[in-house]
Parts: sequence; structure tokens; C-alpha cells
Amino acid sequence: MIKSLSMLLASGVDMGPNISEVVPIIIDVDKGNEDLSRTIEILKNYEAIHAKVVSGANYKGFFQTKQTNLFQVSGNEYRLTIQDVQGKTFGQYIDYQTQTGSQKDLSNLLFSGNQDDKGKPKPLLEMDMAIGFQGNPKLGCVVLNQFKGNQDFNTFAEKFVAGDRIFIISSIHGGTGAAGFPLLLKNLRNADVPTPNPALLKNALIGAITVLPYFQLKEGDIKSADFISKTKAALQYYLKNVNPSLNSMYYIGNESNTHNYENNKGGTNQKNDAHFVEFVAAMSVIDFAMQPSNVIEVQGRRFLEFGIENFTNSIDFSVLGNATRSMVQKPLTKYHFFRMYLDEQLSKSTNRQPWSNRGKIKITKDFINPNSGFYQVLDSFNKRFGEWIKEMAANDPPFIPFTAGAALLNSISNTPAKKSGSKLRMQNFVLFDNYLNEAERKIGNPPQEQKFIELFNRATAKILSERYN
Amino acid sequence: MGTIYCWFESLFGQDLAEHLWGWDMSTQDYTKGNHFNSIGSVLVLVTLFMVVLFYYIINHPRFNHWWSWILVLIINSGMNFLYGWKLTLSDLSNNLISDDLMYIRDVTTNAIVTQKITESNCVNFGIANATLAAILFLIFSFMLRWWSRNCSTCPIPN
Repeated sequence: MIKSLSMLLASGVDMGPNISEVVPIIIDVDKGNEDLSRTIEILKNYEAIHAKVVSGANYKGFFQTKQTNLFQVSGNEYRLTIQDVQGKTFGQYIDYQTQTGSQKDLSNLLFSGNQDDKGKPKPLLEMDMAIGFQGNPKLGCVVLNQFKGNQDFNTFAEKFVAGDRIFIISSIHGGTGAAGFPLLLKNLRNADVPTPNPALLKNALIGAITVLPYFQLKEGDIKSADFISKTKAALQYYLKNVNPSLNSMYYIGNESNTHNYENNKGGTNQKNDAHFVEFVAAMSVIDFAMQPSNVIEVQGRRFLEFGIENFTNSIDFSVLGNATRSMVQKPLTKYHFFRMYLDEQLSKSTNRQPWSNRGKIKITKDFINPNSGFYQVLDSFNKRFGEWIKEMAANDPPFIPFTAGAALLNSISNTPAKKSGSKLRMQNFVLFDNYLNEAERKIGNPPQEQKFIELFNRATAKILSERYN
Repeated sequence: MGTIYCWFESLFGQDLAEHLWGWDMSTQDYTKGNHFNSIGSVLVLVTLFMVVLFYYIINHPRFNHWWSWILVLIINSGMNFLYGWKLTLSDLSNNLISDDLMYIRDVTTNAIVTQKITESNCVNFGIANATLAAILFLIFSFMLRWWSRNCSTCPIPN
């Protein structure tokens, strides 16, 4: 979901006047998770690009919202460190071996089950936690109950200022998210000294999205057949213990139309394709950010679900509701045009078109070298963007906002460009170059990176305003 | 304007130049009207139009190449060549050039000894006109290209 949020923010989706910065904090003990690695790479690249292209508070456009790694000083990459889990089994974590009497009996009662491990049953107490809690929230809620006193949590609390908002994203059917969400909320709402800024945390505007099952797993150690029963149990718990403390609660899920993902418990093999549900979940963050404080200040009152105007088996912008469309269609399309131009036309136009070689600050062939400097980072981010779009299109239900292989002006699915009055009228990349050249006149001479991105901000906006309704 | 044309006098001949200056044998003066001015005016207007056409009317991103500019320059020169050549050829064909410029005659028999202005002079004048058109196209291009959206860096980046 953070990946989807980053893509939306990269495309310039506006979070409204309340929010100018997002501080993603990932809570996941599975350090080697491939999805996590991809997400961290995206966040790092986003941050690097934002730092180069944003000229000031009034800047609007691609990468406008700052995303910050709160734990840069401690060397963590957006991750809150969960202490004492690496290289340990759950039994070692709770000191099962040294427990005696009623304490041991209680542990046996609570954690006596087995977890499949490569097809063979393995006691929960012997489970390696380095790859997460593998669908066992009861383990998660023990291990994650360490926010109080956690150095990274204190860093977060210390940096928290009045007006900041918190949004918690979690899945309800797994281990880490299902267990961590209520604990995290409890630690926020009951914050007390020595946690820094306890009063601010207690009274913070907190929103959350809980992601209900939206995929299934192939046969393996984790049983997706249990997802629904786990979800029901958790929802029942949330009803009384979670929902009343939230300023907004969002629900999303997709029971049918789900792909069967590979059954990987974690680590480098866990690489699930991007999904429309994650995209919608990312929009909930933006929706929450955009709400005026007086709309969400009362806790336990605001609960939301997501709907599609005309659901079909394939989703594109045309079937989304008006509110969703107005939030994401324009920025995502602009970014899609931008990426398409970079992939297919940039090298042909650089050094040739006036937008590239006019004025004091020029966009040179050196600048667009994909193996060095700013463009390398941008190129890497854009590859992930393309991957994200492709994966959502291949998933179920498919979200296909753009038609692969189509000409620029025909590439928005089910949204044709206005018909051209004359065959001589400029089309596609010629039109793009025309608007880039027009934009170049108005930009002045900011640093190269700012000029480059602003050219495309303006040109893509012009294509949309001139050629689409 | 005639002075500029006369940089090329050695190309198209002094006699044709005299005709174009407006020499009239009957008045022994330049009373026929200065053709250089009219041809030159057409040259300036056509070239100016071609420059405006290239930079502001066509103004196309895919025409932002030196070879596109050269192409328009050649078309402009070609049109001015045709104009200069045909205009002088017409004067030649219609006997509008003064006899003393056209021929050397025998003083006793008045027979034509030599024809001083021939069709090749007209062709050469066309070439001179085309050359001037190319030079003017270059000058106008560098004067006017700056404000063109898509072609201001043509033929060379600014």
C-alpha cells in the first residue's frame, strides 16, 4: 500500500492544505521480505527525487508531497525496529525454557498449536520470527507489545507536533498487521511519560484502514482458507476495542475475483503483485489527509467503505466514482504520459527540441543518462511505476487504467481523446514536444532537475486540458 | 537595392545591370524605372514570408532540424531564382531592353555585330537573385527565430 501511495504522490495527487509531508513508518519484522525491499527502494528514490525537484512550498506537481525517513539517523530505512526477534524462535523470545509452573502452563495453553513448515507441523514455540508471524496474530501481539520504550517509537513521538495526523494501514487476516494495529493504537491513545509528547499522541487525529482478505494463497504452510474466520474474529474485537478510538476507519477487501498467490511465509520469495485493493487503500490515506479537522475530530463516528460506480470484471478510470476519479485520474494520467515520453521519445528529442537546448539551463544527453545522477534515480522509480501498473493490470480484478502499446493519446483506457479537427493537427509525441517547447518559455532558469520535471508537469497538464474532456 | 545586386554584376553582366537600373536609350538617362527596387522588394517580401511561414506558421516540432531549414531556404531561393530569371527573360523576349544595351552594331550598316545580353545573362541574374534570397533568409532567420515556440533553435541552437 505504501508503494501505491508513493506512486500516487509521485504523480502529484494533492493531499490538501492540511498535509505537506508524509512520514512512512513500516512495522515488519521480516527484514528480507522482497515486497518490503521493493517498497523501501521506492521510498528512497522518491525522497531523493523530491529533494531535487521541489522548488518551494507553492510547488504543485510530480513528487510534490515530501516523504521522510524518520529513522535516517539510526540507519533504519523507514522501518521501526522490533527488538529481540532476529535469530530467535518465539519460545526463546518469551523465555519458555526458563518458565515454570503456572507461567509455563499458560504459555502452553496459549501457544500450543502447530504451524506448517514445509508441509510438516512445527510447534508455534519453535517458529523462527525473522520472517514475521506467518498468519499468527497471537504471536504478533506478544512480540509487538514493545512500543513503550522502543527507541524508534520514541523518535516518532519526539518528532510529533500539533496538527500532525496518524494513519495506520494493516491487513486483518495476517499476523503482523492484525496484531500490531490494535497494539499500536492502544499505545498511542494511552501514551504516557516517559514517551515524548504523550498529550499530543493521545489526542492526535488517527485514521486507519484495515484490509480484509483480497487474495488467496496456493496450497502451503499458510492457509488462506482461515482468512475469513480470522477476519471475523478480528472485526468483532475491533468493534469494541479499536473503532471507538479512531477518528476515521476505512475498510477494503475483495472476497471474490482473487488470484492465488504463491504461498511464501516471507523472505525474498514474498513478492506479491500490486493489486487494485492496495491502490484503493492508498487513496484512503489521501482521503483522511484531506478531511478538515472538524469533520473527523470526534472519535468512533466515521467509517467508510469503497465502492465502484459501475463494477465490471475489468476496472479503469471510466468505471470509478466521480470522487475517486477527480482524486486520481488527472495526476496518474499525467505521470503515465510523462513516463511514456521518457521511455519512447526522450532520447530522440533531447538536444534537438528547444525545450532541451534553449535557455541557460539545458537538458543535455548527459543529464538523461540512465546510469548516473538524478535521471538514474528517476528512471529506477519509473521502472517501478511501470511494474506497478502492469502488475495491477494482470491481477484480479484487473485495474487497467492505461492501454499498453497504444499511441499516447489513445492510451487512457476507455477515455478517448477529443477528435482532431484536421489531419495536420499535431498528435502524440509531436504534440507533447510542442507543449514542452511552450512550457520552456515560461519556466525560467531553475536548476536542471526542477526544470526537467516542471516541463513535464506543464506539458502533460496541457495535453489533458486540450485533448480530453 | 541595385547597389547590392551589383555585387553580382560580374555574374549577370553590366548591360543587364544597366537595363535593370532603368536605362533608356531614347532619353539617354535612367528613366525606365528601377527594376532592382521592384525585384528586390519582391525578394524581401517573399523571403520574409518564407521565414515567417517556417518559424511561426508551420512552427512544427518535427521541422526543428537544420535540414528542414535548408529545405525552406532552397525553396525560397528557387522561387526568387524563377522570378529574377523569368522577369529578365521576359524583357529580353519582348524587346524591352534598350538597343544600345542589347547589341553592338556596325556603325555604317547598323547590322548587329554582337548580342550583349542573352538568355544566359537572365539565368545568371536568377542565380544572383537566388543567392541574395538565401543570404536574406539567413539574416531574417537569425532576426526572427527567437520567438518561435518550436523552431527557435533552428538551424543552430541559441
